[in-house]
Amino acid sequence: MSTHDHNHDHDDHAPTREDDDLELTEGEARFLALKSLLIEGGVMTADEIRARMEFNERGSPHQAARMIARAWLDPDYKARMLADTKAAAAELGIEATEAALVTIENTPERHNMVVCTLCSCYPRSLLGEPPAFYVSKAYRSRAVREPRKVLREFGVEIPDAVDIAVHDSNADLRYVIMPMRPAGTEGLNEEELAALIARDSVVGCALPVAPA
Amino acid sequence: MADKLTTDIGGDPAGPIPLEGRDQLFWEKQMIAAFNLLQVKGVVVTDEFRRTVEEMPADYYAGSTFYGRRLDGMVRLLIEKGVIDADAFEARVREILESGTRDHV
Repeated sequence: MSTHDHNHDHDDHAPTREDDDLELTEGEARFLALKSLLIEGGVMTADEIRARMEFNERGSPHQAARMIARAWLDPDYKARMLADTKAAAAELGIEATEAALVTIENTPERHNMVVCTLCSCYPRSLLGEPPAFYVSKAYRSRAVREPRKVLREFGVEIPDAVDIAVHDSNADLRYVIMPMRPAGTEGLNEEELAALIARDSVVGCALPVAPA
Repeated sequence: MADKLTTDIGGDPAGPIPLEGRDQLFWEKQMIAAFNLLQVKGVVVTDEFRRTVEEMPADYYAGSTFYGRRLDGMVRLLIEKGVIDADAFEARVREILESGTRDHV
């Protein structure tokens, strides 16, 4: 890109924005005001914001799925992921920016689920932005009191004989759930297995299902 | 001091889980990126940001949205730290709302 010969950062001259056709809301206007003051004040540049957005886009449910599929196939990798999730992410070229990540494995005796009751802490590097339910006050309130009932709303029925452990995340420690590999997936390769691991299964609100 | 933080809603009764999602808007993505940068650059730290959200009045918190609450908390913190000026901020918001466009930012 050529050098600008003026002081403004015209980042909105960038390619068409996906929501240009939406009406400007007060919330967006407040953000744009803040952004313009931060840029004018020299706190950050528009290029830095753009670069960080690109970096953030790399965080997607596919990253967690790759790790879990690898763990299902490779017991050594699984052991490393359970011991040090950030290092195991780095092995697959994933830069986890979270302060700390801990992987918890579902077992036939115990199903695990994740919530952040105080805010919305979520393993973004491995899953992207949290879905609406995760940041909702309903999920934050109810997950710790009636997890079985909450899971039923997701269509997930956990038998009474199986315990449910709910893990409350915070900014210093975030959780990743390793679901159990479904029966009937013996012949699948890593990529095929990764395709079965949906975003919500990594916070315990869904279960991977073998292809029909 | 209240017995319980405004944000401490774990275990409270609440309605059904909203299962329908919506995609993040462009400005929301920009906002998250800008907030990440504020932390990376050491302008703010997580705990003081969280404190601004925890200080929100209960009725405001109850009616606030996820992104709206974060934005208000960060604005308050940056004003408190002298990174931005409160009057300049409100004036800029009005200017943008009156113009009704995103172009001049």
